Amino acid sequence: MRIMTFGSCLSRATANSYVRLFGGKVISSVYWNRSDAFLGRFVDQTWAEYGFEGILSRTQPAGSAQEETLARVILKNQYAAHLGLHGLPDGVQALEVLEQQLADLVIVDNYVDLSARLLRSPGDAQDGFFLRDFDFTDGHQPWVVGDYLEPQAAVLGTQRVMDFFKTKMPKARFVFINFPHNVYQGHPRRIQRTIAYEQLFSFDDALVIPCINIPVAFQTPDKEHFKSPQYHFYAGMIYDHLLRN
Amino acid sequence: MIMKILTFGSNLSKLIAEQYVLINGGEVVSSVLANRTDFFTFNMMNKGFDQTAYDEVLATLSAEDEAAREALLNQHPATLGKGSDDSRTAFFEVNPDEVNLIVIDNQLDLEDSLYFIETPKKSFFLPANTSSLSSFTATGELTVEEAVASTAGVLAYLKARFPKAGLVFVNHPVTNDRNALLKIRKPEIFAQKQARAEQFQQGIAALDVYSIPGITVSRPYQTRDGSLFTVHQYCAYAGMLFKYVYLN
Repeated sequence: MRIMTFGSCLSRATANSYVRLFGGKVISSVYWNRSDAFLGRFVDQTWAEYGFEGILSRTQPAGSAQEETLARVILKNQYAAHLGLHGLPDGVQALEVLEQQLADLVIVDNYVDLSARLLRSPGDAQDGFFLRDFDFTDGHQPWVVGDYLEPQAAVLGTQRVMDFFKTKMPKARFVFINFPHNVYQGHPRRIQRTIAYEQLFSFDDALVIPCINIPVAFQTPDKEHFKSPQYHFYAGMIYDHLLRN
Repeated sequence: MIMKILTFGSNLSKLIAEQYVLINGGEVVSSVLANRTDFFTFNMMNKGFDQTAYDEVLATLSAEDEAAREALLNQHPATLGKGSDDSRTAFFEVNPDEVNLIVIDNQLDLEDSLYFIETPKKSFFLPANTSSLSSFTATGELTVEEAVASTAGVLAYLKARFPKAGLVFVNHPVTNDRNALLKIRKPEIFAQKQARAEQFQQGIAALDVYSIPGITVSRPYQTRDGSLFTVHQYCAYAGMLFKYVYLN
């Protein structure tokens, strides 16, 4: 089972757990790409590309020449040359995976669509990139921060991304995971976006995993990361889906 | 939906249900352990339980045979499914309409013998490490045909008794740490075990029951206790249960 993931650590860690439980390999893993950004940059190719080095020069420097900062890692994931290679030394660039139909299973999650606001030049309507405020040495100006994606736009964007994958790899199986919201107590707007997204989303022939409860026992200090057994729970669902469908 | 779960078989089905409840809520109402399906059929379904034989087995055990005593609690109609800590309801006291999910596994039918003093008709399951085991005669394992036939009877009984419950059968994996060593040292015995499990699985597949195949448990999730796995493995099974409950 050759697996490609699109989204966040949720789809990636679920894929890792699947591989440990049932075998296979994670061949490509796209991180930090909101669905509108992925479509704008790599599918429709209508978004302006901001210079990588120019953005990077504004971020916190690494401690040494060998060290790679998280800002650099996040940024690299948004450029074609490194797309899909997140933490995969022998991974395959994501567009290459699609062109050569290399994946049997694609796992997608909506964490980035729910969480990310993009930075863009003041004159641009939609183009942009993702970095966290604290990645910058001296603030993110002149770039301005856009809004969160509306659930409807996010759903349509993800469906288009998955359609794009499916057209390129008609034999691949698809799983979509709704990022859970019980870990976001005290963030009502986040919870609302998540629930609205879940209600709107569907995709033919895919296993669509609802927002499940993450028990305290499997939560971590980071809201977006869970303890390993939780990802095995997701992997078990996927195994059962592939077995019967 | 709040799941009220009954488990039947070994710790496999019990621990899967417990992980499921940890993640998704609900309750494990009752856990029948230590009942081979032929034992359950004769003693519980057909009410052939014999108190005198039971007392005799108890009296024959050594003082240190705690695990055997625990197993015997599950082989008495009054404490069947209840366990020693009173956290569960005894099987025959469970409200039949309350249970909406039953998880069954076949570890005992696959791997275990029963033991008797006078007649094989009055046999009980005892753990393999019971110190007074030599005071008993072993019946030997069930043949696969016998096991599948009595499992079919138990499944029909459970479906009739708990009409609102969905039923998931888990084929117990042959792979575990103990068997991994066996695979290296005595490959012919491992091959026999594997063939037996596969034959069992085929028998179950022919029945009208939702079943999870005997998956290979990878090395990091095996433990030295031959029949147990790490929590990751039970979580993976619990995910399969979730899929059955919500996404079929």
